[in-house]
This record gives sequence, structure tokens and C-alpha cells, in this order.
Amino acid sequence: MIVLRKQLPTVLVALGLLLLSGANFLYWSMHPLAISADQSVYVQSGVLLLQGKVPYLDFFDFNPPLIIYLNVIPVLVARAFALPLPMGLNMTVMTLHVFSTLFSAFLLYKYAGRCRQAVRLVELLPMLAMYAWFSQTLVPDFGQREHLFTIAFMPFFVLRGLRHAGAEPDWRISCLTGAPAGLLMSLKPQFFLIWIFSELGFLFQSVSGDRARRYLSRSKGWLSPELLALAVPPLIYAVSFAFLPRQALKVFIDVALTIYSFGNNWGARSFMPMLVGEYLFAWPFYQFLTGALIFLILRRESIWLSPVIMICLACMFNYLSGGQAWTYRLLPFSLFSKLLLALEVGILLRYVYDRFKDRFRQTSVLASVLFLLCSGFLAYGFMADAVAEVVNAEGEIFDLKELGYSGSNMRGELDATFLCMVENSKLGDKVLYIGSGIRPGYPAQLQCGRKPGSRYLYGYPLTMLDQARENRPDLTARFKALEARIIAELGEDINKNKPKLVFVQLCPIALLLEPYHFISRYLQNYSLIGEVDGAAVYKRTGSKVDLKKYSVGQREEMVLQVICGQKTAIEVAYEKGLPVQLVEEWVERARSGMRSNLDDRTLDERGIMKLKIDELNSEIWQLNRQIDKLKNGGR
Amino acid sequence: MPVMSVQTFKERFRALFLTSEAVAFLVVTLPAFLLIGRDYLTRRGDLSPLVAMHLVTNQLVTSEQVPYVDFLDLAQPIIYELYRLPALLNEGLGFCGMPMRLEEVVKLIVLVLTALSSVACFLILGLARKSLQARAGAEQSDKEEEESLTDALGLAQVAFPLAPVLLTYMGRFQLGEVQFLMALAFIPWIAIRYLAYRGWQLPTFVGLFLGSVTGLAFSLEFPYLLAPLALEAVLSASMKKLKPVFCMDNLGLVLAALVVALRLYKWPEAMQAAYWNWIMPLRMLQFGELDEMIHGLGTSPDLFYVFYGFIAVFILFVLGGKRNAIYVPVIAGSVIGIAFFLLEKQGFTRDILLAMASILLGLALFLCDFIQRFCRRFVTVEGLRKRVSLLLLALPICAYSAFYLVRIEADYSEGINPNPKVKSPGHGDINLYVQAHSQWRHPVAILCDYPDSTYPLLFNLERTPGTYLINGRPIRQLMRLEKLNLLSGHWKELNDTILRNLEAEFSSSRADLVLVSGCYMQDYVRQNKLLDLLRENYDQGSPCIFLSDNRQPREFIGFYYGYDTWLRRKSK
Repeated sequence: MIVLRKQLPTVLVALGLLLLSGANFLYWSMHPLAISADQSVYVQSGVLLLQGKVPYLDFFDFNPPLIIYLNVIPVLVARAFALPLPMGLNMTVMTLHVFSTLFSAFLLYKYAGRCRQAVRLVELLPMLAMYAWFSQTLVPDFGQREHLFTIAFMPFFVLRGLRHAGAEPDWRISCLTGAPAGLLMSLKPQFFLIWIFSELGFLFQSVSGDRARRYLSRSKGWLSPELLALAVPPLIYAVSFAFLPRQALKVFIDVALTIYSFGNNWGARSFMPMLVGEYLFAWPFYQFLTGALIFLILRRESIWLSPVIMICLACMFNYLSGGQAWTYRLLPFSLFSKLLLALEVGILLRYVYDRFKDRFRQTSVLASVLFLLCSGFLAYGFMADAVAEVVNAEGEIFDLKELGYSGSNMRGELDATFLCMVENSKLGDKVLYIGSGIRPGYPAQLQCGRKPGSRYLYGYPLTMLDQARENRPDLTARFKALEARIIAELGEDINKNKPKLVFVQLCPIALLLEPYHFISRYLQNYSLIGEVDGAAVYKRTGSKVDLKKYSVGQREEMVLQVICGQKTAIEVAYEKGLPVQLVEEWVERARSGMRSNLDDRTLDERGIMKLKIDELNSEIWQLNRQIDKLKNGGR
Repeated sequence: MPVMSVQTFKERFRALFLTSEAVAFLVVTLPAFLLIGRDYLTRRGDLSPLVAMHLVTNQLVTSEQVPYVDFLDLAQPIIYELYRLPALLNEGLGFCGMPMRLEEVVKLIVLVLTALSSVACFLILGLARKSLQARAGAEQSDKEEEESLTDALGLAQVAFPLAPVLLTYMGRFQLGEVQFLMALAFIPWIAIRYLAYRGWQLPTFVGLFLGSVTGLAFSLEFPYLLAPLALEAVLSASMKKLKPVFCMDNLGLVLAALVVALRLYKWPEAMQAAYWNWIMPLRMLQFGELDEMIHGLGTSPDLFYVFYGFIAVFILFVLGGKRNAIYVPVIAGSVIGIAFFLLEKQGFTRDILLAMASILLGLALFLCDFIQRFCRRFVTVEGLRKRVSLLLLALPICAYSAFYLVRIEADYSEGINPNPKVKSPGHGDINLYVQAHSQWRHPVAILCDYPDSTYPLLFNLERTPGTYLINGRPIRQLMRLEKLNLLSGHWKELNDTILRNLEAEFSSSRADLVLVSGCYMQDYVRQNKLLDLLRENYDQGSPCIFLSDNRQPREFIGFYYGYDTWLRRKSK
């Protein structure tokens, strides 16, 4: 009992952190298809890798391969738990985040008391809470490389701080912290800058640089286990490049890197939007500036302040030098600006805490109860918002049964491209989207489980090549050759894979494809069925058909002949000069529609489903009563 | 806290010029200043845009026009009062047989103010250092602290006077802008306030005067008075002292700000009403969302280098600046400057000068600190150490000056004869077009979302403004309000006033030449049926464009579109 009372503050704090860091499990479970464009491509790449496909050779991507390798994990998780792939990613990342938060707290709990210089938990708790909270606010950038990096970096940062403060963590824990950090740092080289800056911030704590000199001249050596563990994954990763097939490496260097380096600024914004384009950009800067001013006042009050602000500066540098106004690039800066403010709040709370703890013995318990209440309140807020969002979207849902899963997703957050893919193809069909960006082709294609119809998961390389030509007109011939190659490969893939649907973005992609007569050369067996999300949709019909010529009435007439048995689909197709598979598809759709509309009903489909749900709920209630009776009767 | 007596002040003043810091000032700072001063004075037509605009509006005010009522500009009322001085001085010089162009007078004033800022820093820090040296000798207590403070002041006495000069290089085409004037006041103010918190005060009237100057400078634009207030808060909190807040310096600042605020009420009532109903709300609106036209690539000037400088100076502070408390207000100044830049939400270089000044001051301090440490460690002979220090300081300053002088030459040439990377076939430069299609001292109306294409063009060509919209920036805000269905009340009143004036101007063919920039301004003209009036009274000419790579001295915001041109019908 005494032990429990002693450990009570720790338990309460841990519970609070658990609640806060895991609050969005509910959100992601209620949005099983929610995923952003970039992440969906990474997951798709993970799927392809597991199918034995070779990166760059069998599927193209600009990014170095580590993110592809890592995305095998959420794919395996999704398969193990029969989850939609997006949900597999989100749940995996959530779990990692919860682990990261609790592990960071554990490190502080275990080693804070063993530091030469005082490391006060009360000072660091707001920072941990802010870290736990931050991931709950991420939706579009959830699971981005920057997000994954912060998840791995946080425990490592805490461990390094403890090490600099004089603690000697166990080598196993150090390796467990260092290795993932090194692995996720390898996602982008600029992440190493963040680590280096944090080290400098720790080293130059003291006014005269004594700490740096002391640390660097330690007899035991300053290469602690976590630093050694940090170095291993990047080394392995670097070596792994040698194991990529030569052809794949050639594509990566000659095609991917070339296009990226010369055409990267397509879609770039000017300087001001990067800073204050909208509140998502502006607020991190305002938070940092506020934190920076307070830092000037409190700079001697904590050993953590200098490293955190150095990290902020590194993140700001990385963001600005990237030259793109994308929120995920700002993510580390956004996080650490908030952590800076939280740490400063923690320092002030420390003063208050120290005042009270001498007067009241139960201060730590009270503080931990308050912490739990605040965390719980915040967690409840996230969960309540998640529920309210779904409740308010009543009726506007998409049933995942069509995709082979149980549950539903809010229809409003699905692109029209997704609905088009579902409507016009079946599970397992191949689809090709040629657009200037990644969205809406991805995530739609991943969400509806349609396989990629080409090695090019997106048409982004074409627009980047166009930009590259503008940037370097002297290299036009080279970029033109690359463009011709990509377009030829797209055509080759269409002929080989015969995707059910091909989306061609109207502007600018259609204009870029026009000189190559792409539509007439490679889409002869496709018919234009309409436009969605700014792209023309071509469906494989066997041969090219002008579908607009055939009104619903005319189709009805043809279909009835087949259903009534007067003629076969082949006869009708031959008579009207249409592809057989097109007529067969119309017949199938008519039959399916007839089945659902011939049933007796008093209400419309939605009304009937609601009735069904009420009946089932009533049944469940009855069953629960019986269970309670049995339980009570059993005692 | 001891306040220096006047006698002591005079003695120490004389002794100042017998120090190595004085040598550094004369050998490094002064030549750099003279170089840039010469460059500034010898070139023509390169006044910064808003300075040129204010000179033009001053002419309107002199001819009895009421700001905001007879012409729309966003400047604070104090600007119209201060800009009388160059004109008065110009007249006075003419009267004394030394006629100068107005442009030259303005440039001289700017250079004099820069020199005063530099000299003020040198004198204040020098006097403080002498006082503290004398105090350290007399009293044994805290001797170590006093000595380190004296060393720090020695450092500052070299770096602080250098900072305004360095700023004139980096912000060469923004000299005289509001933030530049603020920066000139801010640099010595940082020194003054820092010294106050370290236990040294200026004589009463000197403090009151310098405080007033700073208060006046920061009242030139709203809400920049927050800058010295924020600095005060940081100093007070970091030094954990409250008493220095209540001093003559701050009293002077507050009094000056009050006087500036009250001066509004000497203007006509219509102007006061327009100020509170239009100008201040427009100013507040600007701090809201970023204008959608400043989103695409190239739609705002590229100022990454300032942010990289900020990051560098902050890193230096974190890694090595903690030993010297003087870095605290300097870094605070850079943070405050960056904050104001973000608040302005435009992206012009003139909006980041305050941050630039503090960053340059910080870099100068670190440079001096590094040189001092290096020499202390490696040069043991005292006399040689001073010479080596001077040489090591002079080298980077020379390199900096040389780099910027070359760049200024290139930028100036580009300003006069632009040849941007993005070609616009069929579009001549706006400068040549206005020159060719209008006459000296005749009105020209340039309707644009920002004033930089209009000024200093109209000032250099001596064309009078032919429109109520001296600064067309409000149109963007009114268009946005209309889109959000918020164009009511005083906003509608402002919009109606603008339209009424434009209708009258176009109907009466007031201007020889009307240029309307694409796309938003053209949309505004079209939507409000002003295009018909233009067609009735003007002939459409060939389009022109503000040729630019969006860097100094030709900065712009928004899309790189041309101007539709309208020439008054000859029959009129």
C-alpha cells in the first residue's frame, strides 16, 4: 500500500500520457480509409515490395528506398488484423507514437534521479504532454516521414539530455533508443542536422564551454552506446544501396534524381506563403518567436532550453532551404516550437511546484491528479470530436463491404475519384491515374484497393520535367528524351497491364501528352465515360466507343433484349457495333439494379437500412438482458 | 543608480577620442560610411519607393490637399509633418545660395541621421565605459563583474557604431524608409537600455532627448511602439530588475509617442474621421490573412538570406553568447524585427529592416568578440594586439563593403535598365512608357496593388499623381471584403469614396495617362463599370509591364502581370 502511494504520482502521470497519446485511436478507427497522398504512395510501394517488385524498376518513385522498406510494416499489420491498408498505417503509427511517449517518460522516470545535474520531471512534463498532444492534431501529415522521424527522435533526445546531465543509461536501453533514431534519421539527410544541433545545444550549456570540454575529454570515450547504435542503421542503409539491382539504381540516379533536382520547384510558392501563407504556417513561427523571447529570459534555468531552441533553428533552416510551402516540411519546426513553449511553461511550473512542495506533502500527488485530469480532458475532447464528426455525417457514409472490409467511412472525406473508381471497376482491377500531382489518384487507388496499372504510380514526373525545361532550357533535349521515355513506358504498361480505368488530368497533363498522341496511340481500347476531379476518365471497353451517342433509353432497349433472352450479348454487340464486354457490363448493371428495386418496401433504401439497424439494436438489447440474467442467476 | 554630472560628462567626452575604439571607429566605420555615402549621393533616381511617395504626397499637402480625404495613402499623419522638413530645408538651402535637388537633400538627411546614430552609439558606450572604469577603480566590490562589463562595452563600442553603416549597405535601396529610421534609433536605444540595466544612466536631458527621438521614430508606423516596449520587458525580466523602467529615457519615449498621437487632432476633422474609420482598420486588416495574390512562385521578394542570418546569429548566441548579457537585447531586437516582418504580411525588404539591423548588430558583436579572443590568445604584445585586432576587423568589413558595392552597382543598373530573366514579349518597361506618353508635371494615374511600380517613377519623372489612389493597396482588401460579404459600414463608405473619385477622374480625363495593372486592379475597374468611362474618354494604348526579377530596387508583390494603358483622347 505504501509502495502504491509512493508510486501513485508516477502511475497517474503515465496514465495521463497514455490517454493523451492514444486519444486518436478512436479517430483513426472511425476513419478507416483516411490517408494522405504521399503516405498512400509509400504504403502502395510497401505492398509492391512485398509482391517481390523491385523499386525504381517495377515501380517508380522519387524518394530513396528507406521509406518504401519501412512501409512494409503497416502493410503486414493491416494484413494481420484484416484492416484496410490506410488503417494499418495509422494504427501502426499511433502505436509507435504511444510507445515513443511512454518510453520517453520511462527514461526520465528511471534516470532523472541519477543525473549529476538536477533533471526535474515537473519541468519536463508539459513538454512530454505537448509531444503526446501534437500527434493528435495531425491528420493530413500523420505518418509523413517528418512525423516518423519525430517519433523516433524524441526518446533519443531525452536520453541524450539525460546522458549530458550525467546519467549512465543501460546499454540495452541506449541501443533501443539510438537505433530507431538512426534509422528514421536516414529518411532525409537534413534530419541529421537536427540531431547535431541538439548535441551542440547540450554541449554548450555552460557559459565557458566547460561542459563541452569535459564531455569530449571523458576517459571512457564520448561515443556512448546510443550514438554507436545511431550510426548503425545509416551505415547499413548506405550499404544496402549496393544491393539494389544495377538497373534500378540507374533509374533512381538517372531518372528520379535528375527530374527531382531540376524540376523540384514545380508547385513551389514564393517566400511569404512559406512563412504566413495560412495559419498552419504562421502559427509555428509566432510560437517560435514567442518561445525565443522567453528563452532570452529563462536561458539559464534549464539544461533543456538550449538544445530545444537549437533544434527549432535547425528545423527552421531545413524548412526554408527546402523552398516548398508544404505543412509536412514544417512539421518538426511546428512540433519543437510548441515543445519550447511547453518547456518554458514547465520551468515556471517548477517554481510554483517548489513553493508548494515544502508546505504540502501531497503536492506531487495533487500535481499528478491535475495532470491526469488535464490530459484526460484533452483526450476526451479529441474523442468527442471524432464521434461528433461521424454522428453529424449520419447517412453520408461509404460502406466498406464493397471493399471487402467491415465498417464504414465518411463519404465526405473521399474524393470523387475514389467513388468513380469504385463505381466503374471491381476490387483487384488495375487503374492508372496520370495527374500533375499525387492526389487524387492516390490515395483513391489505395483506398479502393485497385492495383496500379503502371510502374508510374503518379504522373508527377511529367510536370516536373516540364518545369525542368523552364528552369534549364539548355538541357531541353535531355528532359525531352526523359519525357518521351516515361510516356512510352506508360503506354507500354497500358498495353501490358490493361488497366480497367485510365484517368488523364485535363490540365496540364493532357496538354503534355498531346504532342505524343497518347490518347489515340495507347487508349484505342478505351472509351471516354466522363470527367471527374479535373481528369478525363477512360474505361476499357474493348474498342473505342463514343458512349455519349448511346442514351439511357437506347441502352435499356439493348439490355432488355438480352435479359428477355431475345438475343445474346454478342449478337447485340455485333449488331450495334459495340464491344461485347461493354454490353455485358450494361446487362450486369441492369440486373443488379433490378434486384435491388424489385423488393417490396415501404421506405427508400436508406430508410430500410435504418429500420434494420433498429431491429438489430433491439435484438442486442434483448440478448444483453439475457446475459445479465444468466450472470446474476449464476452468482 | 548614479546619473552622470555634466562636468564629468564633458571630461569623459574628451577622453573618448584617445582610445583604440576611437581608432577603430575612424579607421573602419568611418571609411565604410563614407564609401556608401558617396555611392548614395552620386546616384540619381534611386530613392526608395515610399520615401519618393511621401515626397510627392507632401507636395499635395503643401497645396492644401487633405490626406485620406483628397488622396488615399496609408501613412501615419506624422509622416506628412516630418516630410515637410526636406522641402523646407531645400528652400532654405536655395535661399542661402546652395541650391540642391530635393532628392539630394533627402539623401543628405538620411546620411546625417545614419552618421548620428553611429556616433551616438560610439559616444554613449564610450562614456559608459569610462564611467565604469572609473567606478571599478574607486570601489573594490564587484570588481570582476565591473571589469567584464567594461570589456563588453569595449566590444560594443566597436560593433554598435558599425551596425548602422552595415545596414546602409544591405538595405541600400531602402534608405529613408520607416523601418530604416526606426533601426537607426533602435541601435543606440538597445545600448542605452542595456546600460540602464547595468547601472549606468545618461544625464537627464540627454536621456529625455534620446528617448523622445526613439519614441518619434517608432511612432512613424503603427504598432511599432511595441518594439521598444517588448525590448524593455525582455531586459527587465532577464535582468530581474524593475527600477530601470522608470527613467528619463522611457519618459521621453512615452512623451514623444503621446505628442505624435495628439498631433492627429490638429488635422481637419474629416481627416481624423478618415483615419479612424479607414486607415487604422485597413492597417489592422493587413495583419490578417496573407493576400491570395502573394502565393505563387515569385510573387514576393526572396528574403531567405535575412532568415539565414537570423538563424546564424541566434546559434552564435546559444553557443557562445551567454557570457555577455549585451547579446540579449540584440537577439531580442532580431526576434522582434522578424515578428513585425511576419505581421506586415507583404514581403518587401523595407518590412524587414528592423530585423536586419539587429542581425547585423549581433553579427558585428560576435565578430568583434571573436577577434578580441583570438588576439588575446595568440598575440601577447599589447601594442601589436591592437593593430592586429584592427586589421582583422577591417578585413571582413572591407570584404562586406566590396561585395555590396558590386551588388549595388548591378542592382542599380537593373533598376534603370531592367533585363529580367522572365521575358514579356510585347511589353515595354513602365518607366519608358510613362516617359514617352506623358508630359513633365502632368498628371499620370497608375492603379496598382502596391506602390513600388509607381514610386519613385513619378517622382523621378516629375509627373504629378493623377488619381485619388496614391497607394492602391486598399483595393485588394476591399475586394476581399466584398467576396466575404463584409463590404458594409465604413468599408462601403471607403469603397464608394474611391469609386466616386475614380469616376470623376476618368470622366474628366484628369490624367494624361492611366495605367491599370492586371489582374485584380483590372477586375476592380471592370466590375465597377469604370472600364466604360475609360473607353469613353481614353484610347487604349499598348501594354507595358514593371520589368523585374522581384529584387531590389524593383520589388513587387503578386503576379507578374502587365498594365493596360489608356491615353487621354487628343480631342480633349
